[in-house]
Amino acid sequence: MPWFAIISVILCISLIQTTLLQHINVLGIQPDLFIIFLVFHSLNSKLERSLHTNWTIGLAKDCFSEGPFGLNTVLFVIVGYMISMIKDNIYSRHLATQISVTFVISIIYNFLYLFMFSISFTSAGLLPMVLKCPLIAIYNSIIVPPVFWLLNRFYSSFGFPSLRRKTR
Amino acid sequence: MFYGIGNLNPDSGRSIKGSIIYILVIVSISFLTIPTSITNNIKVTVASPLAPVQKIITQTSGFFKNGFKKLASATSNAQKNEEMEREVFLLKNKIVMQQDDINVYKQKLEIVSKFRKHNYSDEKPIIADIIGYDVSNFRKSIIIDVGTKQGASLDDIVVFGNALVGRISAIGRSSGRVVLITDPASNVPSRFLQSRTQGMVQGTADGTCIMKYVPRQTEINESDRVVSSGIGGAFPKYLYVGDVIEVKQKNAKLFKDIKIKPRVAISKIEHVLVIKKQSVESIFESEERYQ
Repeated sequence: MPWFAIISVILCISLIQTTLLQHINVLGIQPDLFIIFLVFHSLNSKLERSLHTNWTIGLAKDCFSEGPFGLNTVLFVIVGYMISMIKDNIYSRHLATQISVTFVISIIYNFLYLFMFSISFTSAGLLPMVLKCPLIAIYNSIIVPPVFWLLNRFYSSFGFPSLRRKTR
Repeated sequence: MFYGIGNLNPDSGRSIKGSIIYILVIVSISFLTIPTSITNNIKVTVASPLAPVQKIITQTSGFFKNGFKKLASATSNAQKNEEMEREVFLLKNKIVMQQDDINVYKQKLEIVSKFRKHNYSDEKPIIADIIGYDVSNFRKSIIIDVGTKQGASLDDIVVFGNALVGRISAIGRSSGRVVLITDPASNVPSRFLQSRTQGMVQGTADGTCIMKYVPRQTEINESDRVVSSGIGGAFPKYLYVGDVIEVKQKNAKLFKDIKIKPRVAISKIEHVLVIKKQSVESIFESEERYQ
């Protein structure tokens, strides 16, 4: 059942990200639901399960994005692992923590992506892209409360054990 | 299974966790080594089943977006009594619904007629609806509802009117991915319409482009027009790329920093035109005949 729920969420996120989020972009930046879902899942589930899920989320992002296939998959496994490492030392149920983690992880992921991108392509527009990273992280952090709330509701309705404890 | 083993011996559980990470990372890195043609096929195969849903969502959201805009203007103008307002409101709703359909067909017709007016080719271009956008903030691509079934193929050129939009990078049976000229990995050999100086237009992922390799002594003014030069054969000649919005000259640099605003704002259009590769070649041939 959890896998069914996870794949459903990934499909919904892919659809929303490719169609609707274009209409709410600010300065050409749209929120990254894949990263938010990665943070949500890594904070709320065990390491083994979150690793598989992060890998699947990264793969989905690769399928719906231009660029080298597998890059997002690698980065999502790495940043997901980083969250799993620190989640026992932070109070992950608090909204402020969730927002902060999303902000930091968004910045790390985007910098890593740009680093890999700069190796693949010699783009002259790298500096504007680097400057976009904090803005993307802020936008992601802003939409964390509603997205986390929705995901919590969805997961608890499926009886996902590790999440149900936290949503009570 | 992992949990059971982990309970027997904590050290073995830790090593299993470590091995999972290594396996996942190695598998992911191995993806990077797969040739682009294969990965593009994988991407299109995965994305194709979602294309009809994407199309419906995009069209519905576009309809509501247009509807909201028109309703907002309609309600601000109405200052009569409440009954009249309601009547106008209901009528406008009906009109908006009908107008949206008319606009869609009108836009499609305009795109085709503009293109046909300026090109000699007998090949029919393919009209495509934009059904999705790139999920990454750093890449700029769109998904169109045209694939091999409709006659499109890899590296076909995508235009709007006579302005360049991009190039098909992956193609499936009924959908395709178009890399826009604003993508940081996109390079379009171009030239200035007035001075004829050549350069390379590259995307910056923020909706604008930059023109590289323009010598510092070249006279470039703001609002100068940039068209594709056709060098390399990837893009046809004379397609409108964009207008110069900023020219910078740093002391030590050999080339100018030129910022270009693309002619086509991708967020404002719903349809594009796919020119088949054969069609582009025939345009060149017919031009040579005319010369």
